[in-house]
Amino acid sequence: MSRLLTGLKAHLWQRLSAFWLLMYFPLAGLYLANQTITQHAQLMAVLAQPLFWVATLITLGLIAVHAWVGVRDILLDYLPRSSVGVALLALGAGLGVWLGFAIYTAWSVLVQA
Amino acid sequence: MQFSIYRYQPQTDAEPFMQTFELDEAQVTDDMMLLGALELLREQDPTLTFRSSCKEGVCGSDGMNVNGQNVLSCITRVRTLKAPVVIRPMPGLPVIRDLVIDMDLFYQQYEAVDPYLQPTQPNQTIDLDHELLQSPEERERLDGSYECILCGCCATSCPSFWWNPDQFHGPAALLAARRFVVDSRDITTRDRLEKLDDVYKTFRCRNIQNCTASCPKGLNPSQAINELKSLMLKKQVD
Repeated sequence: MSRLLTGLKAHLWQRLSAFWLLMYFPLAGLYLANQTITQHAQLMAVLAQPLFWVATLITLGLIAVHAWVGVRDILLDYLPRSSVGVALLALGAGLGVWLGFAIYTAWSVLVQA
Repeated sequence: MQFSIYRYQPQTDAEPFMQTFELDEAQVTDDMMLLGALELLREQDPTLTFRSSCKEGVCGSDGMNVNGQNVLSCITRVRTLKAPVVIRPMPGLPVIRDLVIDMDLFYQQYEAVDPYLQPTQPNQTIDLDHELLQSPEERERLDGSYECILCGCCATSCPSFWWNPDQFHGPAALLAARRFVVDSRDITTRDRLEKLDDVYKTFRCRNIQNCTASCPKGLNPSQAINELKSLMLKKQVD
């Protein structure tokens, strides 16, 4: 992943993901605030709306990308050179597990709705 | 007027220490530069070591950290400084002795950006009968880049350079890189930009802007680095 997302590409993806997240969260908050949700089934139905669900799935992916670039930069700046490789592996693995769990949860929402 | 100066001789001193010097107020004239004051102080202690050469802000030899700011001592008026004047070597590079630092890493980074014009392919020879002409507009694009005197004030005030001096090119080298990337006579623009597109070489710059704040020539390396990033993007799109 460090080879795939480096230099200018990483720089652009971080800005693109930041812009998407900046747009998504207020709009998602506004959308959810305008729904009448009193039961679990209603919540699942709202979350499973196709446009909202796809936007959320993209958001999950972009959170992982944004976190990868941002945290990687901090690790490169602050960690001793000898520890960077292990730390990047741990970061990649952690983000991979998190993303897998997040996608599984999103899929469960679709199944339950 | 009191001066507190960093002293260190790695061969004899276990660790650095600050030494206090005094100059009589009558000796400090209104137009005296810090370098002049240091030369007077060296008469008190001939072992006090610092670099200097042109004494007019052109050679870039006498960069030092004065009251927390990297400056050239030959163009810094003593009267503008708050006493006691705390003088240290520029940070981030190894100290050779007192205020003299080892700038090898700085020069290596400068060398790494190929800071020379490449107007022909490597196997071609340049036609010496014809000048490489530029329009006034093309020449104007070099303003703000070519004036760098390589004093190192920018790079040694940059935290990104402190952290990765062997990998991050640093503001001075990237300013030089920008100078040759935008030069209409250079034919290696794409290669230069491809070489710079690296997580360490260019993208360690966090826009801290210490480089711009400390440049004694009033240049703006931070802006130059951002321009390089824009040019890389433009190259991708083209």
